Amino acid sequence: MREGAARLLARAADARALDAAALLPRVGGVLEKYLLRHRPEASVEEIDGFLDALRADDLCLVVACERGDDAAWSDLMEQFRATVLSAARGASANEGAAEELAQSVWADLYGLRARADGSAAGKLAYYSGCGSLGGWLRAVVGQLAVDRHRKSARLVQTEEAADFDRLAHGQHEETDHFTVAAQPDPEHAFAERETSDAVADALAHALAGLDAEDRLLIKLYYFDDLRLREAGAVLGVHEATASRRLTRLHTEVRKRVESFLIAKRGWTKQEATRALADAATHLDTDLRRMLVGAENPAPSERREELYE
Amino acid sequence: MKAEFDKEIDSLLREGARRGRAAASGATGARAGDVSQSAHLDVDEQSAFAENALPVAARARYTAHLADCDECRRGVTRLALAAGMPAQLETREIATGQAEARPLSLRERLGALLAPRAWRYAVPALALLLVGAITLVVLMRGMRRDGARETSIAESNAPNAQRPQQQQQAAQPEAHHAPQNGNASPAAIPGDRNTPVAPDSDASPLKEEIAANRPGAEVAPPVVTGAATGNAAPAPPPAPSSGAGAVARQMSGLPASTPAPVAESAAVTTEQEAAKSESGKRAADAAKVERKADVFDERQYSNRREQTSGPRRNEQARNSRATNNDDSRNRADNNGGSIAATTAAPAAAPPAAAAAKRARVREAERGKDENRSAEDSERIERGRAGSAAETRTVAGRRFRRQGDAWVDANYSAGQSYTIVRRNSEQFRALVADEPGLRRIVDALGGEVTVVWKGRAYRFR
Repeated sequence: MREGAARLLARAADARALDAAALLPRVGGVLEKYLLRHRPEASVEEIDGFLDALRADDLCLVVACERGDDAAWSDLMEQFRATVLSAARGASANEGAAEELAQSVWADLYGLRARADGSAAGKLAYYSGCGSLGGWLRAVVGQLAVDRHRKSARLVQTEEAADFDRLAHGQHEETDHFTVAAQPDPEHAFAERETSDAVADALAHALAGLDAEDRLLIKLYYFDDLRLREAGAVLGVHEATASRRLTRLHTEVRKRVESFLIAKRGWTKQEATRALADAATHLDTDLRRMLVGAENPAPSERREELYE
Repeated sequence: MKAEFDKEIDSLLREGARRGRAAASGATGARAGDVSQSAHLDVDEQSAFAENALPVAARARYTAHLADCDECRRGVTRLALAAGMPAQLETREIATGQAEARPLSLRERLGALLAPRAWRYAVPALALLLVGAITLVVLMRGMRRDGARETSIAESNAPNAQRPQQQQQAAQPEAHHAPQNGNASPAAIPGDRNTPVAPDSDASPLKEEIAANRPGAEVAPPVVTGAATGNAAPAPPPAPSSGAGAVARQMSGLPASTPAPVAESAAVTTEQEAAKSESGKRAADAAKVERKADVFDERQYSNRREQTSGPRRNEQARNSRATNNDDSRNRADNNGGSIAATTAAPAAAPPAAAAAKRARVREAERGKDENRSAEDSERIERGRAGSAAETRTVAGRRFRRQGDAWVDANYSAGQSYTIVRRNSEQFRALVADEPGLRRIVDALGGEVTVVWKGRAYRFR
């Protein structure tokens, strides 16, 4: 690990008078959090690869700032002032609020508050070097904005898009209720309900078998209404790859649903296909429940993790 | 097989998501679906995930969380879009494509060329190509052989169709012996270019038709045989019609109405009776020799023909025909009138010569009644040459008159020449370079054969 820290210093364009010993605690914490915790049996090559992928310049800058290097602070503010302000504008209603948010971020970074041990409780201590410092700063601004929003939400009731969805859905159901002119054939209604339940069971079974990436894609594409390009960006793949993955996912879901209906319900292939086609238009089921994973491990014990 | 976008499943998932969103927001508020607060991703994890900068194992675990946690997913989405990940992925995709499309090194090319996958298709393709090429070569060879056969038929019908000079020289000694063979055709008088020469007696009507249809056949004058074919030819201008002609016709089995091909040959037929027995013996010997010569000539000729192209062949045939006429004339002069030998055309165009030889052999075998002796022919030629002996000197060169033509005394038998027509572009170019030639041609008039700076020209 010391060699890794030394290599990291060597890679940095400006080591800012840091030595390997100064970086070692930070590097150790990052390694533990992102690699060894998830993969304790990681080989030396994997560890070296991980350390060599860290952002050397950003990490050195942050560590130097933490160590009270004024020049480093000046560089940090000079380099990332625009980034922070831009992120703050995106999360604020107006310019004044954006500037106020940006100032708050810089204050948090600097650590005006003190920790229990008396050291400055700056947020820079949470930067790992895995991602870019700019991206991390944007995340910090976003989190701070959310926290502020939550505080204000306690006082002001806001209406979200989901509320409109709920209202529209309820209205739709109500309208349907009144448009029914005659009582449907009970036998037919029973058969329809049976079919619908069978398809919902099959669909739940099919979705439960999907892996995390597929479930995330469904959430991004169907629940968050992202375009494939954006969903692919979150998944770290190109738009075309995301499209292929979604198409494959459709095929897989259809195959699983039909197999389930044939195997468990004794339907024929034609019946299963017809039932799926009917359900596509009027299946009344909550997909969210179906997509909850069997296990939902906590990625980290704490919301934020110090590396020192 | 490429999978298609499943609209039914897409609709099913979209509708389910919409209902799920509504149900969640109605039941537990906007935060429904969130996992416990302590399990959320911190900002560093979110930014690292958004930038795709996490190790595989860590990323897999965070992916599972993001699939269930709306809040973290929204944060990561926002960060990923703010970091310009779509554009970065696009750039990376292009770079990957370019890396895949980079020019291959020699080693890689060789590897690809020798890969079993490539050979799997290349070997059958090469085999097919090879078979095709062999078939083509065989077909071409067959066609060429047929073409050569047709050409030889056509040329055998042409009286003056000539073989290449090489064969002429090879056949020259034979020509000198020809008078002794007693096979000299009485119908052909060398030295007179209008005189028809005995062609191949085997020329069938079909062959004649083929020959007539061929372009090269246009230059060949009508074939006339004196003895073998029985077809009459117009008598040459100097040919007198006499009683001897009737004898000749009688000998060759021609009808009385048939005009005598050559008067001179007929004039000596009475003396041939005396030499009849001796001539028959000689003819039998000559037949053996000529059979061998025929085989050799045909082989040599077919070899040469394969190397020459069609137009060139026609021109050569024209040239060599003319050459042979002169050749025959010169040899007749040099040999003191053994023109009959030349007329028998052993040095004529190979197929024609061979055919003529065959005809003569048959005649010799058949013909005890073929009693034309070399002496008779000699005498005929001597008389004819005497009448035609006329020389002129122009520009310091001596020319000998042969029929309507003037031939340079320096012109040797068998020497090839170039035919130049007066008033042609070739003629104008030639005389522009060599004014001396114009003086000679203008002074002599008619057909003039001139040897100029080692090359022979025939001006017409």
